[in-house]
Amino acid sequence: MNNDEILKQIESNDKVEKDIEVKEELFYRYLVFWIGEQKFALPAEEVHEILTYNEIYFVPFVPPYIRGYANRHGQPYTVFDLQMLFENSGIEGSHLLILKVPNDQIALLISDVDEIVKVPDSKIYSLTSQDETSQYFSGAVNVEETEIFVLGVSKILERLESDIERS
Amino acid sequence: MEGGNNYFKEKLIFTSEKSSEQVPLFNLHKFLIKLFRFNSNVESQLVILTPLTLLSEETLSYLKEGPLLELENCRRIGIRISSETIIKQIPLNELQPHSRILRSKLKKSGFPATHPLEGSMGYLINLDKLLAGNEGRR
Repeated sequence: MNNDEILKQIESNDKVEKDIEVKEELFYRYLVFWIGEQKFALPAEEVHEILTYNEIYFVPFVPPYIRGYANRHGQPYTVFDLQMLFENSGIEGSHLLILKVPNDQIALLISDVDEIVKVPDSKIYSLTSQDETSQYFSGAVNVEETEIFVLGVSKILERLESDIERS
Repeated sequence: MEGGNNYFKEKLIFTSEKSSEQVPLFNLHKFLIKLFRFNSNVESQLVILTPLTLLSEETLSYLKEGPLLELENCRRIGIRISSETIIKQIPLNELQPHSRILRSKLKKSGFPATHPLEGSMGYLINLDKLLAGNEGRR
């Protein structure tokens, strides 16, 4: 094999690799979990840790959808109960999702973890509805023909900040 | 929570041959039990005496207009606390700020920081803010 042939081969390999990379980029990982009887999802990169059986400490002067603080490595994490927010009834959850939120310590109380799924771009949808509840979601994913709402954490925190201040 | 000025119902009376002083009591122990919704059989037989000069104008103004109309004649108020109170030195690095989303609300309400330890969550109290805050008025 002469030099030209080797270079062609390398270029050809490089192209194949790039094609593969492009295809991989079209898949996104989501953590699917239960809140009560309903499944929700979060982009996997937004979840820092899953804690089980963590004690929650009451915090005064805040709305009921804030269940309190979790003490994670000596740092207070605000624990949100989204079922209380959406349906006005709290969940008996024992799992906490520690979220990656810039400049804040936020956790979600959930009933259970379901699975981590890889979802192709073609199965990720944005929401068209503009009702009150849809404001809390960034979109939806289709997993095994089931539509699962994706929580929009930054949207939720943005919307609740003034509510908490007024409470 | 109960209505009225439920936490300002008592007074300490100091008398001597020459004078007497009435010191209104704020029942912090009862207030915290109600606020944090826990049960306690612990008594509150300890009182911290606080000169009124340590309170802010806002708090004094509220107290004079509300629960302590007779405050004009007082020099101090008493803060009734749990009989199991201990004095302990807490290094500043053990105190942690609140989560950002709750920070402003809780600071205004009289709880400026937390003290998380293994198996517990403590709160630093700003008594002046607590007395003047909306919740302290109930």
